[in-house]
Amino acid sequence: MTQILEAPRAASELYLARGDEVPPYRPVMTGDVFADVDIPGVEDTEGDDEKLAMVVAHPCTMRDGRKLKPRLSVVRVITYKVITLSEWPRRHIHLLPVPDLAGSSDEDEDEDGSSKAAEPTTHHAAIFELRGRVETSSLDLAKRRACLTEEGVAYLHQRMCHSDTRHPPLVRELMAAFAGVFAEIEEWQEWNETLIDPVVFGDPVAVSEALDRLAVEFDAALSKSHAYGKKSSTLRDDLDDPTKRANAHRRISVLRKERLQQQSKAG
Amino acid sequence: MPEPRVKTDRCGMQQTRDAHYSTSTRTKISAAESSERRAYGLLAERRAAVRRVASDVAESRDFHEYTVRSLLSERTDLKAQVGLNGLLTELTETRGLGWSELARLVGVSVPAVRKWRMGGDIKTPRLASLSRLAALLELLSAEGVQDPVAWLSLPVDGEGGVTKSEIFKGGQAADLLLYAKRELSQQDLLARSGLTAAPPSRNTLVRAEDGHLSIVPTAT
Repeated sequence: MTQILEAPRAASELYLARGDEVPPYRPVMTGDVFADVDIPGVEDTEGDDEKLAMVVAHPCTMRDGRKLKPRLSVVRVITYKVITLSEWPRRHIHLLPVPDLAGSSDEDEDEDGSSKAAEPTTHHAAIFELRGRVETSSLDLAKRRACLTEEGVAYLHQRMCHSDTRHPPLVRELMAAFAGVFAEIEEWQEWNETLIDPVVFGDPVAVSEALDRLAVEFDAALSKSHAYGKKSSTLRDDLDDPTKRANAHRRISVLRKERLQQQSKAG
Repeated sequence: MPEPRVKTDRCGMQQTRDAHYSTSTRTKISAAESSERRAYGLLAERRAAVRRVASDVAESRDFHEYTVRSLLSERTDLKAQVGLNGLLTELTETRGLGWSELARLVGVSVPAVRKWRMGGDIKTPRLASLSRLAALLELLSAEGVQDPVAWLSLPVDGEGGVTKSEIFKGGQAADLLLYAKRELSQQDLLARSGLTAAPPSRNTLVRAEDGHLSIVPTAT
């Protein structure tokens, strides 16, 4: 029977982090699940007690420069019956299965460290029909429940695109298109985690201001032009190119260390 | 040389052809036949020599492959002695691997890598995977691969094909090294991996007006 949609080998493939593992300084990204989000125009439904919402805006277009757009598309995430991995290709095509949302990476590994290819035991689902736009200010980082991997976001967009248009793009093609943005977000997170001043901890306003300042610096570092052979390029462009990405990672690592040294001297 | 006519006697037995040729013709025939036998003998000797050489080459190739595998194994052991923190630093800061890419190559989740960074324990098979990755990247660099991480991310042949990182995840680091040394063909590398390429994509990535990539059907 022809497969319509693709499926992960294990539920754990979807998640970058869940619950306590969610990095607090990771910028908001497609696939993030937030609690206590009201979605205008989306009616209450069974299983939505926690008012969970998943960001579905495309990674490449959810920001204007370094700033999140004022409103982002999200879909409601509700508790749902268990959907096995074998059902993904042809069933439940108007939602993204969100298995083991309350799980953790500890449960994903066997004793020898290999990944468990276990079927999920608890279940939510992101319902594409329950979609709306929310103010980004309503997405509270302290209430972020999960972040998806690139694979997870690709499965989300494949299923959503098929639901909307009956034409599913390939997961690998979707990943290739936004790999650069994911690489940038990872470096941005690293920048925040390395350089945020511990004195601001415990003060949400101070943390928010510190993150804004770091965002300006990071954006400036990535946007600066440099010579690459006969052409000029930016680190952001280089992160977008698989043949230059490793070099970009190395250079950003050097910049981060230099910035940390400056910070230490100034402190 | 004309075909000799074969006569039979009253009992139906063929008589030898010799009886039908002159002495000089018989001498010439004998000389030609001797020459032919010598030629066949030489040919047989040469075939045997070629078989011996082929066997030597195959043995030599097997031995060389064994040497490469041993080299990788020794380098992996050396890298394991660097320790977890040293390996993570080398793989990310020196080699330019992102954390998600590293997690993918080693076959663990990103939170697992995060725990390692925070001082968490690493299981022995995972430390071995990290060490093997670091060893392979170092040996690829020594072979003249300019950016081993970029090299690993690319398909062996054609867009949408099996990537070298998939082959690494399949446990075939040594085959990748042999391939980089041009001692294993693309075909053999793929055959050994047992991996099947996904059907070729009919789409290509194009940068749109907003500067981001779009997936569009490939122009035919």
